[in-house]
Amino acid sequence: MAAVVRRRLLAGIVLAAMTLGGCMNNSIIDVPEAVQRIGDEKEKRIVIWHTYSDEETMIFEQAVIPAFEAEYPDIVVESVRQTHNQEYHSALLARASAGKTPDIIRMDYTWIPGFAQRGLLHAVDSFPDYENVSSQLQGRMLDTNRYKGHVYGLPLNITTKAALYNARLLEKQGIAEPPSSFSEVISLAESNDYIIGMSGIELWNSIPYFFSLGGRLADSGFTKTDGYFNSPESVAAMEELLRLFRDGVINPWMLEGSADLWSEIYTSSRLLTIDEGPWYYSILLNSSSVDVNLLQRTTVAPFPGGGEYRSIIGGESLVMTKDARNKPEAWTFMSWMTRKETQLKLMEAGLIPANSEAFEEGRSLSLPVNSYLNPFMDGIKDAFYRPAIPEWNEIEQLYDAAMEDIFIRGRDIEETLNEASGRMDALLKSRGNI
Amino acid sequence: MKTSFINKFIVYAVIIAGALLFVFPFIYMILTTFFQGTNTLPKPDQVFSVKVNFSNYVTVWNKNNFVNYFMNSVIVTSVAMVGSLFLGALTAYGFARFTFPGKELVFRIFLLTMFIPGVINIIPQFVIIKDMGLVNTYSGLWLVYIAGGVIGNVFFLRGFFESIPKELEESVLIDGGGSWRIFWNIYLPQSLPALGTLAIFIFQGTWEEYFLALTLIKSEAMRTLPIAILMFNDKYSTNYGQVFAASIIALLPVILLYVTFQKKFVQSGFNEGGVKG
Repeated sequence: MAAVVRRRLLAGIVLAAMTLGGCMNNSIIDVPEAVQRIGDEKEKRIVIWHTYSDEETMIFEQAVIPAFEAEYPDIVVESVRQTHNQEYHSALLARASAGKTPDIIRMDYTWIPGFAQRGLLHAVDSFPDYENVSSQLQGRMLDTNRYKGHVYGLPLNITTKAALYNARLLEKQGIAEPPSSFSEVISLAESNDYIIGMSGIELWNSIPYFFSLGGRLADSGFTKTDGYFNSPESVAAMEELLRLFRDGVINPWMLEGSADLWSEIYTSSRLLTIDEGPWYYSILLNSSSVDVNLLQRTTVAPFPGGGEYRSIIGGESLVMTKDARNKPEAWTFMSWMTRKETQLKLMEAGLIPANSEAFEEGRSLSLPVNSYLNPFMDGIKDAFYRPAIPEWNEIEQLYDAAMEDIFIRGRDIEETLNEASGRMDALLKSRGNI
Repeated sequence: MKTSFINKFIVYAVIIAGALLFVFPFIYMILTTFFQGTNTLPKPDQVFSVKVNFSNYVTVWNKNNFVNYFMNSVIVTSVAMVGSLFLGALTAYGFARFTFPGKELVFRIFLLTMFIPGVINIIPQFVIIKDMGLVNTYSGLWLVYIAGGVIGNVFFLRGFFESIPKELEESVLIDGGGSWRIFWNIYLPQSLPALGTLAIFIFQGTWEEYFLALTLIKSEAMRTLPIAILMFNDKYSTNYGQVFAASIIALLPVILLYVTFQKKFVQSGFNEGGVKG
C-alpha cells in the first residue's frame, strides 16, 4: 500500500509541476535585459495596431515611424500589423474589455461607434490642441468619428470606389470622356450588348448602383429609413437594377461570383465597366501578372451619377484606447500622423489624405499614384458616408438580406423593402435606450 | 466470378470517382500556387496548363516571418497535444473506472460546455487569462487549449476505456499494483489506436487554431501559423497564389502525421485475446 501511496503522491507532484511550470514560465523573451520594464523606461513606448497592406506597411514602418522618432526621440513607436477580418474585430473587443490593448488602433471608421458605445475608447477631443489638429481634417470624415457628442478618433485616410471603364470599348464607340450619368452607361451597354460589372449584391458592392438609379437609404441624419429605403424611388431603382440583372446587362455571373472582373475589364470585348477602389491600381501596377499597360487599357472616372449619392466612402481612423498606457505620447503620434507632411508621404502608397491641405496639395504633386488617383478623389464629394452609429453592422446585414430576398429568392420588391425598412427603424429607435 | 469482377469494377469506379471529386479542389489549390499575382482565382483552362513553379513558396517562406511562426506553431501544438492527451486520458480513466457522487451529472455538465461556441467564451477567457498574468504567453494558450480539449477527449476516450476488460485490472491488483499502474500499464497501452486518432485530431485542431491565438498573443514574434497565413490576406484583395502556398506548407505536418498513423486509426478487436475464456 505504501508503494501505491508513494506512486500516487509522485504522480500528483509531477502533474502539479507540469501545470504550474507551464503557468509560471512566462518568459519567452530571449534577452530579458533588452526589454524595457515599467518604471525604468527613459523613453515612452507606444504601440499601434494597424491593417496596412504590404506596400503601405513598408512606407509606414520604414519612412513614417523613423521620421517621427527622429523628431520625438523620447517616444518609441511599435507597429504591429494585423489582418482586417471579423475575428480581428472580436479579438480587439475581447482585449479592450479586459484593458489589454495597444495605445492606438488604426481601424475602419465604421467600427468606432461600436467601440465607443462599449466605453473602450478614449475621447480625443479632451486634448488641449484638439481644435487645432481637427481643424485641418475634412469635416465630414471627422464626423464619422463622433459618437454621442465626443470625438473618438482622427480620420487618417479616406477612399471611395470609382468606375473603371474598358478603354478599348470606349474608343470603339468613339467616346472620349467616360459617361457622367448612370443612364448613359445603361444605354451604352444595352445598345452594344456590353456588360456592367457589378460584383455582388452586398451593400459595399451594390449600393453605388442603387444610389445612381435614384434609390435612397435614410434621411440625412440617418435617424429613419421609412419613406426613404421603401420610397417609390427606391422601389423603382431596385426594380430597374433587377431588370438589368435579369436582362444580362448587369454582370450575369454576379451571384455565382465567377467572373474575373479585375482582368476582364482590360481583356474582355463585352465588359464595359466595373467599380473598384484605388487599391485596384496600387495592387495591380505592382503585380507581375499584368502584362498590359493598365493605365492605357482602363479609364477611371468618378462613379456615374443619377441619384442623391454616387459611391460609398471607406476609410480608416486612428483611435486611442481607454487603457492606453501613454496617452499624451499617443496623442502626439496621432496628431503627427494627420499633419500634412505625413499624409503626403502616405499618399505615395495610394492612401488618399484626410488632411484637407494634403488632399488639395497632393493632387497637384507629380506622384506616380496621381496617374490614377484623381478621379477617386473627385468622387469623394458626392459619395455616401456610412453613419457613425453602433447599429451600422446590423443595418448592413438587413440590407444584404433584403437584396438576397429580391435577387435570389425573387420576393416582391416593395414588400421586401418595407419589411427591411421597418426592421432598420426598430434598430435605430432602440439606439437611444442602450 | 464474372459478376464479381463487374461488381468490383463498379465499386472501384465509384470509389475512384468519389476520391477524385474530393481531391479536385485540393489539386486546384496546388496548381493555383504556381501562378504569380493571383488577385482573382485562375480559370480552369489556365490552371491545367500552368508550369510548375515554386516561387510563391519561396516568397511565402521568406515573408512575414513565416519560418518563425511555423516553429512557434510546432512548439505550441506539441505541448498542447501532449498535455491535452495526458489530462484527457487521466480524466476519462476516472470517469470510466471510478464511482463517485455526481459522476454522471459532472459528465453531463462537461458535455454541456461543448455546446458553447468559442466566440462567446473569448471575453471571459481573456479576462481570466489576464488576471492570471498570462496574456501574451504560450502558457496562457496552453492553458486554454489543454483545458478546452479535455472535455472532448474524455467524451471520446471514456467509451473506449469502458470496453477494456476489468479482468486485466484485476491481474494488476493481484500483483500489488494500484490505480496509477492500471492506468499506465493497462489503459494507455490498450488504447493506443484511440489515443493516436485523438492525437491527430488535437494536433489538427491546435495547429489550425486562429481566434484565441490572435486574441492572446500580442507580440509579432510569438504569433502562430494561422495568423501568418491570414497576413497574406489584404483588406481589399487576396493574393490566392501566396495564401494557398502558405496553406500547403502549413498542411504538410498534418498530412505527414496522417500518412504515418493512418494504419493505427481506431482499430477494432485490439483487446481481443487479452483475457482467457
